[in-house]
Amino acid sequence: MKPNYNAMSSAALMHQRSSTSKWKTLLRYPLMLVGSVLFLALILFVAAGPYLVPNDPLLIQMSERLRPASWEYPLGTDHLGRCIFSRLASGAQMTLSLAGIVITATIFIGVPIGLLTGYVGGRLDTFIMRVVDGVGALPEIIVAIAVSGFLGPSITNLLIAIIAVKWIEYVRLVRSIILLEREKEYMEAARAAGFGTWHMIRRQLLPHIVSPVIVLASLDIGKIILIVSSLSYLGLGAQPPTPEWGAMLNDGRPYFQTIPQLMIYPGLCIMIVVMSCNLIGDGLRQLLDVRNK
Amino acid sequence: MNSSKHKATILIVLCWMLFVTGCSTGGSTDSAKEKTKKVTMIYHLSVNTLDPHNSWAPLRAGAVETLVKLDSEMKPSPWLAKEWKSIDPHTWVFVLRDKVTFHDGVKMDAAAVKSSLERSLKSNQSLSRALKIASMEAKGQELTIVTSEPNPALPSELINPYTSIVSTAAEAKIGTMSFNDKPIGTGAFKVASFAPNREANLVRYEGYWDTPAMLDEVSFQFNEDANVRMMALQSNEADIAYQLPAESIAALERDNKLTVESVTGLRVHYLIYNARRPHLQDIRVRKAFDLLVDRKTVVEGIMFGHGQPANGPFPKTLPFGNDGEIPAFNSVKALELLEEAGYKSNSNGKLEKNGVPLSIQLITYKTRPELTLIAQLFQSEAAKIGVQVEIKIVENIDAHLRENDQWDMVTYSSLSAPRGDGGYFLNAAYQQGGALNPGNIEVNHVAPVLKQLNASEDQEARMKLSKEVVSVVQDEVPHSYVVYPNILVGVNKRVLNWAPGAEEYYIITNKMDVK
Repeated sequence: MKPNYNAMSSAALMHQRSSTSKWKTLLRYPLMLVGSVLFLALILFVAAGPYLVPNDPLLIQMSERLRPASWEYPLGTDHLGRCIFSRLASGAQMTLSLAGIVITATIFIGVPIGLLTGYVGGRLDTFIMRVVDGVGALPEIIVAIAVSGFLGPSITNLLIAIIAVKWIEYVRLVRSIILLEREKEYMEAARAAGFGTWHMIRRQLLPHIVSPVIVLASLDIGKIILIVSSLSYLGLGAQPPTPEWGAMLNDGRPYFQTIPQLMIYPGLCIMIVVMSCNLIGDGLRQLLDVRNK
Repeated sequence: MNSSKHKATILIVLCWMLFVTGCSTGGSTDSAKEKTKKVTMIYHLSVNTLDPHNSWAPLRAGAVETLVKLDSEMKPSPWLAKEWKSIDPHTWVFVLRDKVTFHDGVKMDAAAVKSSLERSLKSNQSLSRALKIASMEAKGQELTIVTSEPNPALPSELINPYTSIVSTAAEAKIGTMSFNDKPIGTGAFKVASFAPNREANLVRYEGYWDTPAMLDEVSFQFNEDANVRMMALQSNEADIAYQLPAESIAALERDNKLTVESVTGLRVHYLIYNARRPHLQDIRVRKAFDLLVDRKTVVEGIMFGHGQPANGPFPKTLPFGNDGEIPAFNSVKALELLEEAGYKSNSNGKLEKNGVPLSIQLITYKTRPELTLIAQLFQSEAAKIGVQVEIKIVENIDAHLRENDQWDMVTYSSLSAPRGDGGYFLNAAYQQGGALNPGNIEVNHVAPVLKQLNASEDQEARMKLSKEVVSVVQDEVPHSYVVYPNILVGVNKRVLNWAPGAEEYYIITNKMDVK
């Protein structure tokens, strides 16, 4: 076959065009840009924090308690004399990595189940969807509180509790896409060509679900951070002295009227992260949604 | 267009009228409040029953009373019993007040008291061990109690709120269920309504045997959240709020409507070591941990000065309190002791013995917020010498300790001399199977002294023996006593003739009043 040079050069041109247009697209979504900048700033804060302020976030020094902001302690110290800045930075690491673990785990649990239940159908589908409906019928924060309350307070149990309520969304999303795609003609063709179930799921269906799952995951990160913080605030997650934002918020509660900074700083951190995640998620949704193109 | 403008005007006028009527009804309730004298108080423990033999709340709320009362000098004094005497080591005669009636108007006589005490004994196992009652005989206003063995502490045991006198005849009439919501006792107030874990409403009992109460109504509310209690006090929703967090006192002191009462209590915060755990069976390890408790910092930094450093179960305010020195914080000596016990620093700077790092699980709970802070302070100090402490916060400490025995240490808080007598605590904390001994502690040589204490009648001798028990026990370091916390109560200045007592028993009284 004669190679189509014309088509190739146009593809290269397209590529060049798309890389400049990516920036333009990003500028078309200023909120997403704001979200990304905030998020990057946070990553920078986490990475550089320990070098900028080399205080031990766990070291209790009662003689230094409730100090105002200074060069040594940029945001002051808490009720046990620990550097608030260092605690926030190390809390950010904790919060972000927890959210990352939860998202990865829910995707790895939810997506295969959704693919399987959507493609195979029948009794398996009925069974799994009833379980999903059952879990989904209750508000997720209530289920998370119940699960972590039952398992006892610890970070691991907190992760289990959140994963236990989060996976169902992915099953639902993936299944609904598969149900639509399954009946399309190209699938008929692939089936007629004699491809097996594994090939059908992996090569034909998986590409369709990648972008919706990314969008859902990016929107979910904010929610997950909120659940992690709420459970820790309630004492069901991180145990002292772990610097977790929700737990720090709870620690500052008795001082709310006298030294509100103890609650304001972790509260602001939670707000900024959740907001930036949501802005990025919203932007991604618009960017990846075919209807917007 | 015109008609919509018209509608808008009507709507605005209607809203305004609603607003004005809303204001006026508010005003009328205010004036109604002035007529009835009412005090609202918020207590820090949840209460799910008002059964006087299973809850201290009815006594605290002034609904029921006991035969013997603890006076301000922590000595037994007459209450429903006018006087008492022991005829022989086994026999006590209690003479009851005349003119006392239950809330249903029935006269309280010895037969009613006997029946009430029988109810107490039936519903409370530990009580029957403490009272040792073999039989009772009622004649008019005279109750004769025969004990199974000599029990010189009987009058002081009858201070126990679980021995409150109630009308069992009334219980038979209205049924146990509704009796446990509205107990019929002899107090200055009777229960009008009760919502479990939320509040009990009480009204004045006109037929009270002593001076009838100055207040018309009392709302006795329960809330475990210290911040809620504090905000209720600040917003005038509550007149008295119990057990405020020490760190919030500064905010309250700025408010000139409120005062804060800080009273030395009969309580001690301490660490219990689990005697079942092999590494804690070594006394050098326990002594080392005791040296890591920074009592001075706890009092100044965590209690904000509202407490005293502790060196034993009983505060110095009691005649048998410990007068020895307060053990000083000394991490150097602690490390020496641990090294002596065979622990060596490994490559990570952690102490280990035979390759096993010294790691401690410390259980704590949030009902008393300072305990979690004490735990964190200990954790931080221990980390500095290479001892890893893992803190676990549990919801229900007693249930957790009952169901698990894999913990190493626990922060705990006890009323160590609830009736002005150390006997209860010493028996419960240092004997196997005792109610306050979750760590299964067994102290050598303490049993004979305890036995002597339990048999001795003379107050002076009891105090001396109590001190002796403590000194025998302290050589073994089964606990590390940290602090005697003050009772911190926020009070609105409109409340008159009231101050919290150290005993935490008699809260609502007939004498308290409001401006």
